[in-house]
Amino acid sequence: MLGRVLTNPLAGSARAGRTLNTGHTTAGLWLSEASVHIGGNPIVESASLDITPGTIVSLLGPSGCGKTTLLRSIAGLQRLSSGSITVGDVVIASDSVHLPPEQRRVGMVFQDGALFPHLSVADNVSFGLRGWAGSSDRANEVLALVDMAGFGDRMPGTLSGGQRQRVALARALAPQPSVLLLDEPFSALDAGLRLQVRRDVKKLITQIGITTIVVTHDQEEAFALGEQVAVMSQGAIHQVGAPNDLYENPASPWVATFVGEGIGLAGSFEGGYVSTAIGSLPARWVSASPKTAGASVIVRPEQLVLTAGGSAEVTDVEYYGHDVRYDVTLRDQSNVSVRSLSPEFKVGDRVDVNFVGTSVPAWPA
Amino acid sequence: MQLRKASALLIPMALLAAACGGDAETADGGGPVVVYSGRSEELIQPILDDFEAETGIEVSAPRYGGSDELALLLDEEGGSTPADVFISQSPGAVGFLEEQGVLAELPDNVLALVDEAVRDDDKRWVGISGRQRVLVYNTDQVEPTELPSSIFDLTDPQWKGRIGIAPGNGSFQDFVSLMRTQVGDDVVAEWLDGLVANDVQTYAKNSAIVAAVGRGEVDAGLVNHYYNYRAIDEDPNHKGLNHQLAVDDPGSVLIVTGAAILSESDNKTNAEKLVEYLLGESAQRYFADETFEYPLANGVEPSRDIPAAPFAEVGTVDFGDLGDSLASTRELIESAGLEG
Amino acid sequence: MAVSHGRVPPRWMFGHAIVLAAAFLLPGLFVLIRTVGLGGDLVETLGDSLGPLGRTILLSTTVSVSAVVVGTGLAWLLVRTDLPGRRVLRVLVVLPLVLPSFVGAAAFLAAVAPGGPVHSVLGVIGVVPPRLSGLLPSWQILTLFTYPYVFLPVAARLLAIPPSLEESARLLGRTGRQAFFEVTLPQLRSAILSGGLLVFLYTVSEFGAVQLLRYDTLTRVIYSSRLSDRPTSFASASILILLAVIVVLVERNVRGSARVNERSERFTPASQPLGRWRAAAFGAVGVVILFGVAVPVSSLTVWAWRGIVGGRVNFSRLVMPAINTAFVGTLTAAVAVAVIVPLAVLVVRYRLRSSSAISAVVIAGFAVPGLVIALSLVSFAVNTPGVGWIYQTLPLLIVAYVIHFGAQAMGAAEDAVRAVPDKLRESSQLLESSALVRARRVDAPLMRPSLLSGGGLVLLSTIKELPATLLLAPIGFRTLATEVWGSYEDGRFAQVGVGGLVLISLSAVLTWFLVLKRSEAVVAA
Repeated sequence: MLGRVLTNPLAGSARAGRTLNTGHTTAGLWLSEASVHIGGNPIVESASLDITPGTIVSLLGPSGCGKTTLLRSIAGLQRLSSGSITVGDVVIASDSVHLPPEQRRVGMVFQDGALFPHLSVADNVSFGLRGWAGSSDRANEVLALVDMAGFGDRMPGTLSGGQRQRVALARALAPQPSVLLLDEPFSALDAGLRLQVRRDVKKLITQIGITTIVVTHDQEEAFALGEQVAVMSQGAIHQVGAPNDLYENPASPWVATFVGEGIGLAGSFEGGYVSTAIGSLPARWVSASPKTAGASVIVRPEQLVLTAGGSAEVTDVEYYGHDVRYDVTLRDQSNVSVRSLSPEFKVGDRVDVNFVGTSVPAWPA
Repeated sequence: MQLRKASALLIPMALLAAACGGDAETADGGGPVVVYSGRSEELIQPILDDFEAETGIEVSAPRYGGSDELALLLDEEGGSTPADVFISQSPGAVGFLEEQGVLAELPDNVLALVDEAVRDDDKRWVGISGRQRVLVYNTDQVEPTELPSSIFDLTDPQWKGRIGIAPGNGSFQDFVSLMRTQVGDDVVAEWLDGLVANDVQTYAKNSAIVAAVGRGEVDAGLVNHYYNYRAIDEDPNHKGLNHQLAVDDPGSVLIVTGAAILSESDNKTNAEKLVEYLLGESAQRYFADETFEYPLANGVEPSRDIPAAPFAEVGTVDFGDLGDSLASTRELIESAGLEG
Repeated sequence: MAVSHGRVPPRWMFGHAIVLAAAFLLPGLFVLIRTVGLGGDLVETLGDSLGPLGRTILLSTTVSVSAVVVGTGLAWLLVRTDLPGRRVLRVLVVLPLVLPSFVGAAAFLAAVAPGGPVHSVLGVIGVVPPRLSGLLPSWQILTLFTYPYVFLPVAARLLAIPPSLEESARLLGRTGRQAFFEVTLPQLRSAILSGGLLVFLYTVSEFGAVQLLRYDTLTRVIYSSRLSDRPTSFASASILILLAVIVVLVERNVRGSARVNERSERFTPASQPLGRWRAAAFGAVGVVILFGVAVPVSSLTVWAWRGIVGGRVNFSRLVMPAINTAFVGTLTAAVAVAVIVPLAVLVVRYRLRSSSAISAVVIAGFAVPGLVIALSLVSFAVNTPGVGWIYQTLPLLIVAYVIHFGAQAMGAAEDAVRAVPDKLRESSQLLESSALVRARRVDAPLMRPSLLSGGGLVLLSTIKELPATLLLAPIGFRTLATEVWGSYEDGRFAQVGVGGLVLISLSAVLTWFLVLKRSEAVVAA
């Protein structure tokens, strides 16, 4: 797969104004055809990424797809089998180079926080500041950044889950790394807490302007955090792009269904439209132009509306408060999901399904 | 809670009572004879089986252990001991129990089976087999002509660094105790100092010396005679041979293993029959032929491989004296710089 | 770590702790009462035995230090690295623990002595090993026999420490070595200290090996005067117990309150690639196994072989003892863990001062020679009204074992209780109505690795125990240790060899099935 250039739309003039003056000199990160094989099994295959300085990238994929292994190879905790990784203008890993983790200037926050239980919060944060002049000032400074000022004397065991992750972030940021890696950083937190901590963390790393990679299996989290999202599966990066771009222009039906709810429909291509069980839909070709008449499309539930009376039947209703999800069985016995703002139908109602979007992505069948 | 506290208090109090000792009735109940044996199962069980078969008197499976440990156990058990008969490998253990006053008098007909040199004057124990002290030597490294006739020769420079002893072992201490009665403490102390000055090699026990002599680690050692026969039995290429010192030398002393009956025994008649059986022809032959020991019953000869050791002439260790004298024997050995 | 300040433990736990304290105090009380009763003079005995006491302290200290280094190093190599064959090696390195010290030391001496396997091998290259005696070989051989006391708890801890701790340290600028010393080692601190303490107490009470190696320690005074000069014997035993109590108290002070990370997830620790150090690491483990296992086993094999060739070996004699040994060892381990865990809960979760004192008593019990424990129980059983029935029964023998070896379960039980976070208990208390269900579903899986390592130590110690078994076992109850001892006393080395090899094999099988396999299953899940 070829490397893609990810550009931060806010880079340049806007950046200077929102970067905190914390002495950070963040760097770009370039993965070139990086592969990791463990015990003969390919875990990561030819992954390429080009991240401009200061960008937040989400690495999204199902569990076991190799995203954590890729993150660990950037950290130096896993050797590359082939390819290379460059930070700034330094090659940190390649066929001939394996810079040990301690020399990479990479900060990392683990799923469990990994705070040293025998050290106080302040000692945890200053752990990476050995040899710094004014290390305790710096520790207090980053603790204040994560809203944990005054907690320096506490032991990690006495902190809540959210507090621990904040301290872990402060500890990772303290030695001013070039790149920040977050490995499922919020998955150990309760649902309510997760949202708040996530917002705070995003605000902070955006302010600092540090190049960040967040590994997550949660599409919502990936979209909320990442200015760019890289979608991985089975060891390969399938698509990289801004969240809205991924959602609207998925590179494959798999990406389309993984980055959001998608209904796959089969049909036949006729003059810019694909004729399907819910009617003729305006299509745009994602890959090469069609050579056959057969096509498959992905429709998002919010692109459909229901009207009373028709040949389809409501088979299930899920009420979420802000909206409602209907499962509808069409005349040809295929199923579609429809999102609607009002709970006007119930199970068994006869309905008609109408497309209200502008277009749908299509692939040759 | 109250109850639990009370029961917790009970335990130390009971212990206090325990330390003050207890007492119990004695009777002649019959039933199986209970034996505590310092002699190992392999070396005594066949005789007990024969006894059961011949007399019909049941013997329950003995408690085996070190003689000294069993003596301590018998002392702690006091009146509650289930034991009727104690068979000891070491004179010290019997001496200790005699001193504690827990041994019963043996009947005259049993005592009469052995020479008076190998039974207790107070009738509390009787010898059942004897082990002679000898000098075991390595046949490759020692010429028969240079073998000494007395232990006093071992302080001679020609034996410098060539002799092994087991100063912490009971049989060595028994032998030193006897030596003190024969030649006096001053001579013994001088001899021990002489050994140390002559770079004597120390071992943990008799069997260790015999093994060391066999492999040539030391040239010769002071041990009980039968260990070398067992070593040859285990390994036919064993290079050790026993040398008997002069019959009147303290180094030729016969150490007696004995049997005693507990005064708290409620089965004395059968217990006496068992002790009598241990001095009978078949048991004595077993000791002579299977364990290479000296039979002590009048009229029974040692195994033909073993040179005679007339115990009327060689000295014997008196159990009764040992209890008192062992402590000072140990002091003598330690003050010579050996680990008593 | 969340602590249950102000919470009151259930009443039965108090009662249990008091009974436990009484039982473990028994040998000490017995020795003190006897010392006073026999007119023993502690001060005079102390003055007379300063030399042996000094040697006991010197030997115990040096052995503890080296056992900590060897045990911790092996644990790291066999848990945290990609050393090939480490699963099998994990069983092998525990084996030096299983030989009774008199057999182990005798086999070791025989191997190194002229005519022995090691001597013969070295002879080929013209090296003559010196005769082993005194401090240096005592230190070396006891280190080889005791490092498993450190290895087992440290390996259990290592399995429970998330690799992300070390990895975080690496990313914060530390080299692998610095990360180990600054981050991992502090997590191992309590396991190392409790293991090292066990080694110290074991060495204090050790007699068989130092006797054979002729290193004159305090136990020699106790044993050699046990019949001839009982006041001195008991006074020396009092001094030994006082030494043990002092050392336990010092260790408690040094250790402070251990801070262990709470974890609820299970994971497989990452393997540190050894790379070019692989050969060196393999060699280091090999040397330990060579001297701790292969050398004594070579002697036992030579003895056994000679006997088998000569037709002097009786295999059928060993069947019942082997069954008895496995049975009584497993039962004792289970009982020890079951009675110690409630005390550990009091110590760790409720932090009661009194329970901490009781646990110190439990640990100090390990330094009391088995003979003394046996005699104290005899005295208790035959003189206490109402308990006479227990004398000469298996339960009393198991009580003796538990008093002797309960210490080995104590540290592990404390670690196990720490492994269950208080938060987790509270949230699961809401979900699970029954305390029993909670204990089984939530607590047990988390406590299991540590409990198994503690129970494993008790098991291995029990199956080689000798003096208490000889005096307290029901008459006719033979174990492999008593069989081997009997043969050894008679100089029937062929039978010693066979019995010793059976003992080692049985221990390996039990260790594998009851301890290692189960704790691995938990970790791998």
